[in-house]
Amino acid sequence: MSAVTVSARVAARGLDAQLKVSEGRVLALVGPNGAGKSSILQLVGGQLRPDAGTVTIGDEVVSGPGVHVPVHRRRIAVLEQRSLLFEHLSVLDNVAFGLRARGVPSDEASQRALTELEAVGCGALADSRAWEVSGGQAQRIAIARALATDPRLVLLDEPLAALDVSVAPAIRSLLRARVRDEGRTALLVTHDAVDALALADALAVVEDGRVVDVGPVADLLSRPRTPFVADLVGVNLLAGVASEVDTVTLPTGERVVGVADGPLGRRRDAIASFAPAAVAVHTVEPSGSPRNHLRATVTGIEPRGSLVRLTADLADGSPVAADLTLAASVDEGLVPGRDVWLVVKAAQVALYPR
Amino acid sequence: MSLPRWLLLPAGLAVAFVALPLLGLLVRVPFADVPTLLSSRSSLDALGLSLLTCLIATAISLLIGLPLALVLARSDGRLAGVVRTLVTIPMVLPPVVAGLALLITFGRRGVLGAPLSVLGIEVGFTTIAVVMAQVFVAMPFLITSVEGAVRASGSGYEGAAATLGASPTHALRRVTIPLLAPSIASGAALTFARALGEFGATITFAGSLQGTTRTLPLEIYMLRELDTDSALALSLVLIVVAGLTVAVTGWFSRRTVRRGIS
Repeated sequence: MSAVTVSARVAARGLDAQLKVSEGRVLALVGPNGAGKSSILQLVGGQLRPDAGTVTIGDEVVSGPGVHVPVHRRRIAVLEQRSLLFEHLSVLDNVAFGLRARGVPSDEASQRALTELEAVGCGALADSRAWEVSGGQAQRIAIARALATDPRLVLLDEPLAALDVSVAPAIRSLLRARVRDEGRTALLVTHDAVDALALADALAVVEDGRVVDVGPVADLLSRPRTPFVADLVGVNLLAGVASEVDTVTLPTGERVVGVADGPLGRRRDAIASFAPAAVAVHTVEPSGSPRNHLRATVTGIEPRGSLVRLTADLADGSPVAADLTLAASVDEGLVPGRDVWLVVKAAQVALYPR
Repeated sequence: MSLPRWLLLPAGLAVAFVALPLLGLLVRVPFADVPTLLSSRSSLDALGLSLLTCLIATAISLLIGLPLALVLARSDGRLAGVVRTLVTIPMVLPPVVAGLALLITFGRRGVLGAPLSVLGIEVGFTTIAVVMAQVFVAMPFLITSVEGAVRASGSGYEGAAATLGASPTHALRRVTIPLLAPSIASGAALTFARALGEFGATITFAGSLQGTTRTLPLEIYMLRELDTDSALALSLVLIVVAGLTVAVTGWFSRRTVRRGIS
């Protein structure tokens, strides 16, 4: 298994990506739609050729000035949303396909394919036609097929996105066992914080074709620094400037008091984050309270399970979400356009440098 | 679906318009004499020649038309658009014009025919000319139907094959072609049927020499008044082949749909 480095530009896609995956590690790429996550995967996979820069796998330059190793010679495995099993072949022949393409004799390829199928719990399906299996089974077989050739790198492009919620967890733990626990090097594109936590060691946030933040998954998810990651983990994020050891002043001039787990440099950019469940909504200004209260205008309200998710904009347009009970939202007469005060206890606000 | 009921009237007329001539012809076919009529020397010559030339024309269409269909399906440039239009033209061109074009180009005094003639190669009025006329008018059916199928199936499977280590040639042989087999088969059946019915281009470019260029449709045309019974018997053969072609293509397209869903 090999380390991967990407330092490449693709003008047509507005991509200028720099990233590195250490050997045996899994890097998750997250970011808004169209940010360039899949393009980065295609650069590594060989489906996309950079205008400038290089892509290396191990110590081999696979894309660079005057060099472009074609997809089929990169010794990689790709798993995407669609399992893309070859419908004219049996399940076993699907898994043996990569070995046969590399010239492994038929008997040996079938034997190894069967071992791979058993490793994903689909040994009994070996003789089935590819179009006879269910969606979850198809993705298990696709995993077996991808790993059968012992690739030096695994590219996972939202491998769970098309699966039924009832089967996704099982496939997620299978991927964790077969990719992360076996120490394979991998790149994972995902829209799901759970996938990132379960499958990846490190997280890279991609926005507008650039890697804007990278670090251990748990660190990045527990202290989101970009609106996208805050959204991903479902917390509110307000950016401002540290004015005291425990206070961040927002662009609106309002102050948010919270708990900092490290020193906040005075006058340095800082972030306040808090969960939507920690936000209370008042229609009259709360008085004599040491708690944070922020002026906002309701922009939307929609049911979410047994709760109601209220969204409101601060004076500078920063969005804040609050989870209320249905009764609370009705009693207070909360409708879009209504001016409200958002109240958050200081103990429930995390402060950290930007 | 709720359509106005009066639509059934014009719809019924359309069915009648297509069905009546076929029924009319079938009513007149002297079924008892068909075996005798079909075993006459000239009928057998025409049947044999049609079978031979159509098989060769279909094979040539597969050999060069299939690669063109694959290339066109993966190209989006201006040139591809021009080529796509070009290969569709024979489908809408009057066959007699197609025959004239072939004659003017490959005939004894034609643009390419004259130099070929100097080399001792005569194309016009030979069985080769019959095959050329058939390929010219029938190959577009294979190209357009296969290109459509390749576009509809997308390039995902080839991409997957490549990541598994398959070279482009390996992916074509082991993935693309097998997955397309139903479309290729139905395209080939359409091509064969169109070649079998070819008349205008053949008579213009290849003439009507018994055993050399007189295919089934030409034989039927010649016999239609001289020996109506023989013409009807031969027509029956063509109707049966046409019916089989429709059945075969229909079966293959249903097969594709079923696999596509699952």
